[in-house]
Amino acid sequence: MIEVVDLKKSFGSTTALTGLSFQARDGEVTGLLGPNGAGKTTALRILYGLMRADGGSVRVDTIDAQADTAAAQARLGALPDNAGLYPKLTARENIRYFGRLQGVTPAAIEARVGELAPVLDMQEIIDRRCEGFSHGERAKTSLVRVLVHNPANVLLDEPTNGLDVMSVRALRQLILHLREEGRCVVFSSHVMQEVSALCDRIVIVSHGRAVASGTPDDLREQTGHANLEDAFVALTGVERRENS
Amino acid sequence: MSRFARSGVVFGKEILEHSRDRRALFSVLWSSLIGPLLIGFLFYQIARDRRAADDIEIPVAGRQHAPHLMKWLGEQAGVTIVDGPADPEEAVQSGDFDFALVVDEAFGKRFEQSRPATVKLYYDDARTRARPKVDRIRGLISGYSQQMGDLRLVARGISPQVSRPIQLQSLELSSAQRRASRVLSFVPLMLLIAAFAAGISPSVDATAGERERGSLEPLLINPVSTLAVAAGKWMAASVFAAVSLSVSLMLILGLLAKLPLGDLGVYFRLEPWQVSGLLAAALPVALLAPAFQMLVACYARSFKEAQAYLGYVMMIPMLPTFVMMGTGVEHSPWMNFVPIVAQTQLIQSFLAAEMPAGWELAVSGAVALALSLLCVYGVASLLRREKIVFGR
Repeated sequence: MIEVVDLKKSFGSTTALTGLSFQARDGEVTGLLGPNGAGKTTALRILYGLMRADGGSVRVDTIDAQADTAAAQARLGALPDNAGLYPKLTARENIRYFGRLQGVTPAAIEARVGELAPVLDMQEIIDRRCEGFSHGERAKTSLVRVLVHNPANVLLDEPTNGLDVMSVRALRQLILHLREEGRCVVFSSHVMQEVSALCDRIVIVSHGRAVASGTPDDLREQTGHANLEDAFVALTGVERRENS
Repeated sequence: MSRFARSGVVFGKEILEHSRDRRALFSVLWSSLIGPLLIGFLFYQIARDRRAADDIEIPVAGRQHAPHLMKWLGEQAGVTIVDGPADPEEAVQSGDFDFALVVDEAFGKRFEQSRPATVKLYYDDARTRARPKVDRIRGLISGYSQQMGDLRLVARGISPQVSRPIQLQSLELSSAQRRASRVLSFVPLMLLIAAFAAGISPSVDATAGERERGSLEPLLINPVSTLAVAAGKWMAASVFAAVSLSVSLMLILGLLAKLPLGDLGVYFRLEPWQVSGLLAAALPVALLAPAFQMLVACYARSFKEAQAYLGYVMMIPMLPTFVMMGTGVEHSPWMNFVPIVAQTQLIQSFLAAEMPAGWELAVSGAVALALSLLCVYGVASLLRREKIVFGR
């Protein structure tokens, strides 16, 4: 469960967040949808504790993420955009490293890898060094790496960026799997189709705040557009259709 | 899990990662070999020059003017007289000869009249290789001159001692081992280089490398303090620096023990307490070097950028050692409070078989450790800056 209330953040004269609020519930997939530069990444960075907000609050399972960052981080599995791996380590060793830092026992790490690797179809690469990995293989490894401690809340920043069709399918499968396990999944995207295909709830972010939120049906109703894409354009004021 | 245990996790991963990194392993190898190789090479050269001075061929122009002098010179060990060049000045300047002796035409006549007879020695002082030979020729000629002078006095019924109102006795007060340590004065620099060079790869990889790969952000999302991360990385880099430094030291000591230093007029003996003393004196450098390098490399966005920074900055801590090496600076107690200077001084002492006071070892080690921890603390606070974490 994630609660963001009136989040504000600026970098010098640029304002990234102007009072963003949204909620993400357990057992649901929440999509942060918005054009590039809307403030999605900034919001997630504050959520996973690496940025300080200028104002507002973020709560992860009722823990104040700004006051007790480590406790919030222990309940989070967060995948930043373009997360890098350690090329000299195998996929398993990369995962093990984060598992140990999260305080997971070696046996539990192995069990978790054994559970997640088949979902993402990565049994063949699990004991290979990451230096030769394709973008998709790197993305899968990064994903398992942030899920190794069984976090109740999962944050994914533009997880499908640059992935091929097969990897996107695998990722979709994983997200649904996580939802079934009752976790709270939040992912950001600027691609309409992805969000509408997966999300139970959509938060549309524009100019640093949420301009609308609700189920896809709610959004269609709110804007009077039968097509979700038209609804998105109407809400964000984006003329040109964003594509990946 | 405690902060200490998490540091251990970081440490273990860094060691595993660097031990698979050829760049890191190679830099440990070459940085530990460069000292022994250089010292071996320099001693080889000194020995060669000395041998060259023992075996000396003296080109003499006008040797027919001083047959007795020539005969006497020819009888000295290793000396051979050959015909000198017609124009000695030109021959030495052009480099055909390193030096040449010219016996004056009037030598015989003036010698018979007991007036100073002239022998000219042409040489070029810039040619350091020839210096030992030139020195030897000077010594030979003045030795002959003294002998002749003494004989003349004795022939006139005067004791040769009368002509020597003052006898200057030069007594070398520094012990033979001190002289050895002067020759060995660049051992500290070599050990510094070993630690600093081996520390670069792991230190840079741990900071600028993480930023470049984009692995810093996901790493810090884990509930682990930046201090634990920085400390683990620092300890791992220190292991590499320490291995390089120790291997380098052992190789250098092994080399010095094998080399015939006695033949060079250098007395060097190595007792076990010196070996452990040298390790104790030098190892704090292996803690300080990576800490300092990590702090500098934190500001770099990429491996290459960090290496460029470190290229400039690395000279700063080494500068005092350079100075102490060249000029033989007198040791004084305040030096123990200045990192690097302290280690240089202690290494010099142990090499000279002088046992420094216990407090000196303790203080210099403690100061180096404190400064290292300060650097690590600096790294930890830099890792909390948004500009460093996200500024790729």
